[in-house]
Amino acid sequence: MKQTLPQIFQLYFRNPSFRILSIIFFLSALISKWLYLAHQTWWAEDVTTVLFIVTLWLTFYMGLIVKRQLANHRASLLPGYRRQHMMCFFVLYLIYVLVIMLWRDGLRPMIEITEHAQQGILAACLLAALGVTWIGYLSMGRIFIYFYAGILIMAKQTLYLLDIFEQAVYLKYILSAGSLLLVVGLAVRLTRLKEDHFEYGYLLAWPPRKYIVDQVKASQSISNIFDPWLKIFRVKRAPAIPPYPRDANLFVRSRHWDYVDRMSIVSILFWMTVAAPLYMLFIQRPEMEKFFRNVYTNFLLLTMTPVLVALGSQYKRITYWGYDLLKPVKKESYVKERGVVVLRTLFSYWIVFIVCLVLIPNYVFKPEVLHTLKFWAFFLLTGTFSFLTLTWIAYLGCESDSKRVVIHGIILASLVLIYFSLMPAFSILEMVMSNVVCLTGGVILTKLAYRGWCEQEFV
Amino acid sequence: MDRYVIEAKDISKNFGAKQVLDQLSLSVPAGSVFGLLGTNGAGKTTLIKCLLGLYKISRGKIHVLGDDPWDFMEATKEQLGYVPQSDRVYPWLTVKELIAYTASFYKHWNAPLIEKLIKEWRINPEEKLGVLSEGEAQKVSIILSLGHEPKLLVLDEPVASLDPAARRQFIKMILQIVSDRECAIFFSTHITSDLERVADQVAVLKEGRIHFHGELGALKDEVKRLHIRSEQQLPDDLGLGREKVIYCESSAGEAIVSVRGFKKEFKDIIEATCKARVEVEDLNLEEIFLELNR
Repeated sequence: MKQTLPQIFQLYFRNPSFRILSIIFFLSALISKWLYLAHQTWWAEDVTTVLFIVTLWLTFYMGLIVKRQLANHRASLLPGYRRQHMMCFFVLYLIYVLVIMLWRDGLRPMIEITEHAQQGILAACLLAALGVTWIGYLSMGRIFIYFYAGILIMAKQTLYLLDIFEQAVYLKYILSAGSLLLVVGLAVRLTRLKEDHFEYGYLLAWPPRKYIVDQVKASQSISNIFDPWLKIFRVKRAPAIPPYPRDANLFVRSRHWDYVDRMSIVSILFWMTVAAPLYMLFIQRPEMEKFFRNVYTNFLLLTMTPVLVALGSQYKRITYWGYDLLKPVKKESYVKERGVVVLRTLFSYWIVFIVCLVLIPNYVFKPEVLHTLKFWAFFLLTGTFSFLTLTWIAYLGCESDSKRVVIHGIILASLVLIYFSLMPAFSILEMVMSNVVCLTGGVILTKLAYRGWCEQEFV
Repeated sequence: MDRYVIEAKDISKNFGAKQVLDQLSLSVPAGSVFGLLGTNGAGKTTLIKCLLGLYKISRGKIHVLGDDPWDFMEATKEQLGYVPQSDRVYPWLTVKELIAYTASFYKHWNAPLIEKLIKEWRINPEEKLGVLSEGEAQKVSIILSLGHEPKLLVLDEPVASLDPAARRQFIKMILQIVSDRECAIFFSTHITSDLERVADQVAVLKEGRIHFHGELGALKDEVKRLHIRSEQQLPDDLGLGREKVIYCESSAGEAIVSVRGFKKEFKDIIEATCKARVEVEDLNLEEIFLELNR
């Protein structure tokens, strides 16, 4: 027992991602506190944002780690395994919560909110962190979607949160009780986790194929819950699949791969019918006038989300490329067709996002914007920039030199940040020029990615 | 038609600094059943993936059905079937959907054969692939590889997850395929008894190199175990040369020696050199495999 616990703690601290997140967590807590105490409020707020984001990632990752430790046969067969692993998990959780409590201590009146409001916020954050830990523990893509919808609904009240906590003191006790309930729920579930439980499989692991199989098994239970709702959108697969159109053009040929990839349509329909109205509900508040309702400040959301969603939907497929490659299709054709599938997925999501999050809201709240040239230049730029980003990532995906990947990654991330910061101040000419540069860059990177993927080994 | 369906000459494959295949040469005659034997980590799967163009070889040349695997033509792929070690593709599709999807890529597809095999192997075509057991998934994979009636079937440990009945059926099917049409089968396995029943050619892979390559009968003729009794001390090489002795276990006046490149004269040489009595024991494939991997 004496030696076991340090070994279990090492499972966390020898994990590079956990280590990096923890270091950033502790450093950002320390630096932001110091900056607050030194009255460098502007910087302190920025570092606090980092602390907030890292805390979310860390809690998600902790959920993932504890799941990995317990979703295996050893957890059921080794004596004392579960108890010791859970103990370490909750001790670590407590340490991180204590750090946040200590961080908060002594900051009044620098953070100008009342004691009740502070406690209410902390209780709400703890509840949210536990919710995120649960998501890490469940770790299924679709849960993100439902969670996101939940956040949007809750966000309608966000701006009043401080007032609410100041007025309704009992709320912090309710939130704390909710946190306690989640902790107990997690503990109970971890104690009993067995292979036939729906969350046994997990997604963010290697090799992906095995875990995708687990996920398919696991998601059966979730599907059953949402089946009546999903049936509205479910697309029936064609009973017979026509022959692969070998002599047709590239775009027609690429569509043949869709016979196994139709689930993304459900996701697109979800966005259009559920997320868009919720987003409208969220931004209708007058306080949103300066940020979310100002389309130019939304560049990051409008460009990165379609890229991430498109990549996420294709990520699983890449593990089957080696299998598909042995079908009677030339490797060059195969890579081109797959490339078209990825770009088409990006285009579909971009259209959905731009319609749901830009065109409809602006049509409702600021119709005059739609008559300006700047708006349409910006509209196009979100597409060309998404194209550039995706092709850049596709190119890096077949790059084996890690140093080059890091350098390219830094350049890309910097470019995203620069555009995000400067976009509201861009003139029409700058937007048009940016469109040309992004489009040209995207085309060049597409060619480089194509060459790279043709030389890639598929397994 | 080419005499060989697979020809590999001096191929090497490195993963960074690690060399998995080391100047390996191999040729598989058309219409033969070729068994690849090797311990875990010997490089069997890597070799198969190089033969299929999934891995790019670091050095050497490969021709499969007369074509370069790294740049297979469509026509070549039409004649190629592959069953991987673990086949878990598209778990969200049903068996029926995967069959329809796979069939759509081939100009020729023997649907009655697939239906027959699905029935014989008791696979539920409406079942999702993700919920099939390992053995069932392996059966589906084997069935799918036969639909387009390939000229070369590459199987990477195909029977590892099958039950004895399915294994028997699989062997029967292989023999039938070979007798019905000019199909070569290249398969790697640990189960030597299966190989012994169907293979006419074998290769033994060890540490990325081929240690034996030829007909199964020749391998059996070549590797023997000798039981030697002598009054005097036996020399290390028994007068045969060190390279011929695979393994030697000796105690006072007695030795059990495994030799490679066995010739009938060996018995006379040892008897003359060591003044000993020698008995020659024939080995089955599993014993030969174990001896070669000592």
